[in-house]
Amino acid sequence: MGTSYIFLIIVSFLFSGYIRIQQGLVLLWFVTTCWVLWRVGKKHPTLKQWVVSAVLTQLPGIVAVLICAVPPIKARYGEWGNGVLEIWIHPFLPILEMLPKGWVWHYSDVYVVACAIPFVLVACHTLIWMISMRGPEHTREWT
Amino acid sequence: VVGRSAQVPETVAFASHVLHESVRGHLNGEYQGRQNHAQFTDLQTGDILLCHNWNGGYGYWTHVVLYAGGGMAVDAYNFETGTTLSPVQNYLRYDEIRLLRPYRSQAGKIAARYALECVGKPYDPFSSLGDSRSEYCSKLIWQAYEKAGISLCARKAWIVPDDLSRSAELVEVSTWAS
Repeated sequence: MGTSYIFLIIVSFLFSGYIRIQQGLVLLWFVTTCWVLWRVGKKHPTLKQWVVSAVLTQLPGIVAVLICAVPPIKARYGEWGNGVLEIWIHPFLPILEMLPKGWVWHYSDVYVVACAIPFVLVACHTLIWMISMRGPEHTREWT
Repeated sequence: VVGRSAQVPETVAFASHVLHESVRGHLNGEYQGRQNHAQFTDLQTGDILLCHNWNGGYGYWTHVVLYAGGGMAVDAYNFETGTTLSPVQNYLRYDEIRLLRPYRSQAGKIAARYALECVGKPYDPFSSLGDSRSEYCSKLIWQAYEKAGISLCARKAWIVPDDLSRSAELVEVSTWAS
């Protein structure tokens, strides 16, 4: 899924300025990815492997958020962390920009939600596996 | 579409230059820890403050803000804070500051009013000039003056502070170095 996400980022940049297309692209990617993951999840062996693969697909975003969150690293590399994060979550910006303008503490509300996106995507990834494993024939595979 | 196609080589060249500088560690520049000697006593609403610090990756001027009156400037600085209202004293930390003023003072007031409406908007350096839902420093000022009927420079994919510094619509009032 990591490849499809990188492809989404590239396409999202190519359509800069065409907000409706960008919004449509990210929604299409999300729905398609959920469907593919649901199909693949049924055959996937364990939750642990599944979560590891989910984290790996979002690793650049997660690392960028951590750089921005840990004060000593942020002081030196925060600008670069923010830049990487902004590129990584770029496909979602046309949707995040629909939030009312404002701040949470002294952070832009869009920024706060953007920081959560890599983790939310990992959570969605995991949730889909759990849903795909519903049913008595799969119960033992959760452990 | 034709207009956008014509911009492609220029956009690619600019993006390539910024990328080249970025891999060398140059982007928004670095503060040297010494203040400039700016005097903010005669600022007028709508004035533009160009800021320079060392090692910028996209031009000599690395940041730009719009004076909105009351000692405060509208600043679309980074992703973390979005578009904010900041005291002008914050810009003393830059190596150099240049104060530009529009020939028409009324336009400055209209631009400042628009910029104040933008406070709280998110920051997106990749957003197009036609998209008013997010801002970056030079785009905010370009859009604010467009609202006032002044085109500070030709429309293109990215506006950088250096583009505004060359505007024929603005007069240089003063430059302060450290």
